[in-house]
Amino acid sequence: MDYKIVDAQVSPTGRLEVLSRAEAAKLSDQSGGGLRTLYRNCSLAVLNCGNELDDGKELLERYHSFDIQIQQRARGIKLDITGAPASAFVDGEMIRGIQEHLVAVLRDVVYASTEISGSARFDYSTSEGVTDAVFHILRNANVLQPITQPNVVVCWGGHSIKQEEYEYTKLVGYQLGLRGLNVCTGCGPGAMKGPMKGAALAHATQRITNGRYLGFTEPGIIAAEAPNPVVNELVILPDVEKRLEAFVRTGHGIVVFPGGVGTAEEILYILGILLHPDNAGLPFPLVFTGPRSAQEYFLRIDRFIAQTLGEAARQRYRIIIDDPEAVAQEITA
Amino acid sequence: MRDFRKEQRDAYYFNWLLKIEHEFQQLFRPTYERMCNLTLHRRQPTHLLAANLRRAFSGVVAGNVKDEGIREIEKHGPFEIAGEPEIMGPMDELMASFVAQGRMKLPGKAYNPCYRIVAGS
Repeated sequence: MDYKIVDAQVSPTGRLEVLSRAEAAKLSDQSGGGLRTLYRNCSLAVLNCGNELDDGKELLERYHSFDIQIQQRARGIKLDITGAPASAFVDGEMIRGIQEHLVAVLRDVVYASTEISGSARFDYSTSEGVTDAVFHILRNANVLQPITQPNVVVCWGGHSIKQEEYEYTKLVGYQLGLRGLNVCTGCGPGAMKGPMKGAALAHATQRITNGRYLGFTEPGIIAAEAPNPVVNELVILPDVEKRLEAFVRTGHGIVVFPGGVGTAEEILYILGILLHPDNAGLPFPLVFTGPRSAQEYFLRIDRFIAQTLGEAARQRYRIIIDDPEAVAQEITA
Repeated sequence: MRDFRKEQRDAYYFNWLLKIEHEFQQLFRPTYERMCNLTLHRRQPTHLLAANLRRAFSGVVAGNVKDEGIREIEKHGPFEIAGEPEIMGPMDELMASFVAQGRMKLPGKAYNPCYRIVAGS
């Protein structure tokens, strides 16, 4: 099967319009440097948004001729794109949100390789060192905003969920948005997109024009969960572990929707952290929620947690079935 | 939550106070061998068991959708996850329910499990 492709030239808007010669060389290195492949694959994933595909390997094979080259020009850099999925364009123009995502990919891939992983500044053998690295990545992405009230709600849940569950995630997002809260997700489809859509609509009704829709991803998953274009602050963390840490340090509360193994991973991560004796007194709203049809699903998760981690873990979350308003109230409580 | 951060003089925009053990921060690159060797029993502090269960699920995510994970499965066959029966039983049940409810992958193709639960000691 043939997939429609487009060639284009894009001038990045916003920050990072200049690259050092060394950085540009690393990204265009054809000799097989890891950075070049990473950059190409993440860019392709971003351009593929809106397509129903959750197979990183298949994506790479489908658009095997895709290429992105950085041109250094007098006025800054330009991106030369060939063989890109046609769905990223409207009448030949690339969708603005996707352009921004391309710049975010460039920013984070460069920053992570030059300032984070290659830097002696961070001591990865200590917990503090890793946390510091996560902080610097988020700060570089301009995600950490002082002065504002705590209002970021992290929404976790599956990319492959039933229609009814998807509709429900929008209703919850709507209730969060009505209360001026912003949404942060893993930025893929399903439960990662629904809450953002709901919140965007609610922000419009409340005349909130600076609503934030944060998407945190990592190179391994970005191809399977292409960022939806609603995301207006995209950050690509270097790996799963830093991505999870970014969620729990940026978010002020977490809502968990139905999902699969990825969601189970997230639940165990946050519970494992909250079970640490040092975190015993730390308030951290954690709500599991879904429509009536998802009740059985959460009972199963609840039972699994009781059987493996025990009663103490069950005290750290609340299960709310079919009540978006109560979810938003619990999170703001 | 806001009052707590204010009282503790912690930033609203970054939760410094949350203690995250190194165990949760270390990279876990799922390979066939590492998935076999996960410590899945209750003779360890609960939060460490949670860390290891997290790795098990993380590996299945990789085997389902990530380029590297899928290639690993193609090379060695499904990951074998072993541990205490009291943990593996519920885990098997949970994963089977994900499969039955179509939560592993987007619909369209039949799901071919990338893992096998093996009861150990």
